[in-house]
Amino acid sequence: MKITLGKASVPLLRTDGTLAAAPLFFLCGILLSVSPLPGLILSMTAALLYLSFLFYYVPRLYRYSLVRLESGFLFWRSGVLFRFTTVLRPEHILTVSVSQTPLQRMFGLCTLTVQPVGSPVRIRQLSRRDALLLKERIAEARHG
Amino acid sequence: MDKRPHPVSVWHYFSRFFFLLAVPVIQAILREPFSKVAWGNLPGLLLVAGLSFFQYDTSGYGIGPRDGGAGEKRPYLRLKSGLFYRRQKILPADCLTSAMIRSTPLLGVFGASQLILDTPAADSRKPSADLYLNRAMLSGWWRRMKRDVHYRYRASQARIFLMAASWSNPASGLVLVGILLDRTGKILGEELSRSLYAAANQSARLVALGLPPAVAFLGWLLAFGWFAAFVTQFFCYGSFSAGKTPRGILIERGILFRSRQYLKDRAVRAVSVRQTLMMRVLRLSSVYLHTIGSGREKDDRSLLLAAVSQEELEFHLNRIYPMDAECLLTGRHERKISPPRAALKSFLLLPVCHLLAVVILFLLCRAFAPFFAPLALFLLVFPLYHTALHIAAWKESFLAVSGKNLVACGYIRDQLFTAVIPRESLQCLVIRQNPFQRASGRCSLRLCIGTERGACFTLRHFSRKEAEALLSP
Repeated sequence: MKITLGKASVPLLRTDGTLAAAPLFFLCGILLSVSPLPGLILSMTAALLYLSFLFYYVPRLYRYSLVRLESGFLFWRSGVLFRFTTVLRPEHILTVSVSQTPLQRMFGLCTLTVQPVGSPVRIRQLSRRDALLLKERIAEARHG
Repeated sequence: MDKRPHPVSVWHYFSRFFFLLAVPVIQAILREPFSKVAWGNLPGLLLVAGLSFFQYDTSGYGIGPRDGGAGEKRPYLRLKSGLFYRRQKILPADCLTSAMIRSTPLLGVFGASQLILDTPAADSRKPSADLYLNRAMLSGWWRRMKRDVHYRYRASQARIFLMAASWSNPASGLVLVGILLDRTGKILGEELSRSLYAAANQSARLVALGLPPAVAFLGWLLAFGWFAAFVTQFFCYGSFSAGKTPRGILIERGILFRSRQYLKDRAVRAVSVRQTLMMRVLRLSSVYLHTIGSGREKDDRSLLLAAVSQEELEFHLNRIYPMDAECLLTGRHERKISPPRAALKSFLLLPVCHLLAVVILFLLCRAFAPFFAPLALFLLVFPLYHTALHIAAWKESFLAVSGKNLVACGYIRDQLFTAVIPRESLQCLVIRQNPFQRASGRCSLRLCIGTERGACFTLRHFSRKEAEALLSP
């Protein structure tokens, strides 16, 4: 079973990035009016970072992120610059929960949290249908 | 029926506020017993103390059988607490993985000891249960447990001394002393910290004996930091002993502040052998148990064998460690991978950056503060140690499969480790790649064994393909 991030994760991540960048652009505006040259350099850097996030980071993250449940293992891979793959045995999972932030609810996405003994593994921006299906499959795999 | 914990538990409920209020009030009353101002702060103090007493009054614990289904009775511990928000916690006895009794001289004066109980559900900040109980009662329980010990390991004080000396470093000691001075200063007033700092300053002058004061002060500070760390470690692990019972391991340690811990066998997740470079030169190593369920001092409690030679390690580990760790002793593995030779550059990247930072500091000092330039050279010791450790790690690191175990060898902070992890203990495997590693096809592996704070063993700069082939289902 293979599940990719929900399609709405791209606009959601872009919205998250825009919300995070807004205060930075506000500060750049203030700096631009006080001291034009440093303000301009900072604004251009911020704009470049923002555009890279929107048009490079987000699409790549969407394409690379994948959840697989096969051969008795749960695989979760993600990351753009720093990539990671987490491998878990379903029988080691103690609890599985699905949660939604207000923004995720708006976009019909959710976070699936699997808790083995130790720190939890959070799989973010799955579509609600996929998350519930994966939750069921994990429960089936846990009970053999 | 619920019992009340030892009255010394009130101490536990006193907030830091109480001490911040109490010391100035007592000082003011002693200085001017008839002044209104001195007594004016007393109601606030009594209010805080009163709340603590009421909180203690509502706390309690009980032990009893509980219906476990199908007519089976399972013993459990019930804890209740809370003045306004009442809380009741139930810990089934079969869920407990470790119990620890902590005795301090202050608690000893009141005839109490602290009992800390852990379950796999304990979070990293606080244990599952924390009770102050009668010392005689807890000592009696501990003596009964000790009757079942069929094998006992006792570390000599010389070994503990050696281990504490090799572990200690000036930075950790200075952090400890800094926190202690800061907290004492907050409670007892600035006068105390000022006089302590002044004393330190005068000692520096005394030690200087003709040396420039800055040099002497730095040397004094480093030596003092190391000594503080050494004393802390030595007192923490002094009189160390470990015993094996049919169902668990008993560990006792500490001078003045004594800790006695019982770990159930099923709580043990892995065993690791650690060496600093100094211990490696002396061919000694320390053995640690990694267990499930924890309090925040878990790392401190998991020592099993202190600074032992290879022969002693073989002898004691087979008798104490409840699972199979034969591969740790024989070094024979079915399949084994190591970092490629080209990974040396990656291993040396951080030490080289460290070295460069010191050289830049030296050049800056020579340009702007020539007096401090020789001091910067002393700092070269740290990157050199760092480099030696990373070269040793590059040579020694491996990941192997041996029967039902995984054997991992790598480095953590300033130590080399070799860990035996039973496959069923491995909770989660994380393969990470930074952009450089992606280009070279290498990766870092985190083997999470599911102990506190998501404890894991990290192996760096292994070939991703080899690692996946080794660990594939």
